[in-house]
Amino acid sequence: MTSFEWGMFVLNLIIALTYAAILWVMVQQRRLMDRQLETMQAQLREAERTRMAAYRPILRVEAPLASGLPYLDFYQVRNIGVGAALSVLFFTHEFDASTTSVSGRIEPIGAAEFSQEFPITTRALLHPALTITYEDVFGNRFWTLYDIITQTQTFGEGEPPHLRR
Amino acid sequence: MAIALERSVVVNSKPIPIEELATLAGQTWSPDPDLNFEVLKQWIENGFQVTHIFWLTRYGPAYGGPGIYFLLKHPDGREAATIVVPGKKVAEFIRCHSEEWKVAGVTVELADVSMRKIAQGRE
Repeated sequence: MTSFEWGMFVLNLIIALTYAAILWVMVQQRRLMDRQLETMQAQLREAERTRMAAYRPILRVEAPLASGLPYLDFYQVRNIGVGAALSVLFFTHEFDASTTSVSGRIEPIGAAEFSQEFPITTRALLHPALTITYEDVFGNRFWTLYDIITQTQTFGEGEPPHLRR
Repeated sequence: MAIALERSVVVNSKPIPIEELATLAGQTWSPDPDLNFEVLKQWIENGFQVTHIFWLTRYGPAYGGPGIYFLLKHPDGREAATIVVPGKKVAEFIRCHSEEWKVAGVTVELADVSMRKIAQGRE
């Protein structure tokens, strides 16, 4: 191999190493940016959760009142959260959501306020349950599931999974 | 701090003719007319027959407005109930079945519902 060829070989080697070094630096920069992006997304999620918590309504079902009419009770919910509950809907259904007997709408409920009374009839339901869905001021959706037999309450965010079709 | 309320429901009911029920259903405005009517139709398609009807003057399913409370019974003994919101479809449904219900002896009542709330003091 002549000295010219050696020179070309070394030059190509230097160019290849330079490109490899540049590539390595770019990959490291990309990894660093990905980590920064993840951190920023986590901070954003935390900020959204904090904002949601500051305005979150939570509706708890109160003890029913017998109406005196056959099989008809009046229920009421109380907003034990810190924000107003808007677009409040209620559904009386089988616990497994196979049958719905009554659905309806009630007025928005401010923090610490009781709702108006609404009618519930559980006749023909083997295991009756009451689901309330509602929104906060930003449109985030929440739900409360009340098991009428065991009188237990479950609270959740988003669409109620037991009522999804 | 909240004021606890002792609540009770007071219902004063009186019988009314079926025709009056149909008129009330057709003339009463509601923000959500005919709500739950599909549920009622489903019960009837499943063989249930109407036995009692109550016109609730308030505390119905749509923002506390009026509601029509239907009690139903299946020939095999099962019972069902639902509350519909007055509307054109419901009024038409009542008109269509009024003669049949008269023959079957279905009772129709106007139930004036009111809530009595007495403040109990601070919790």
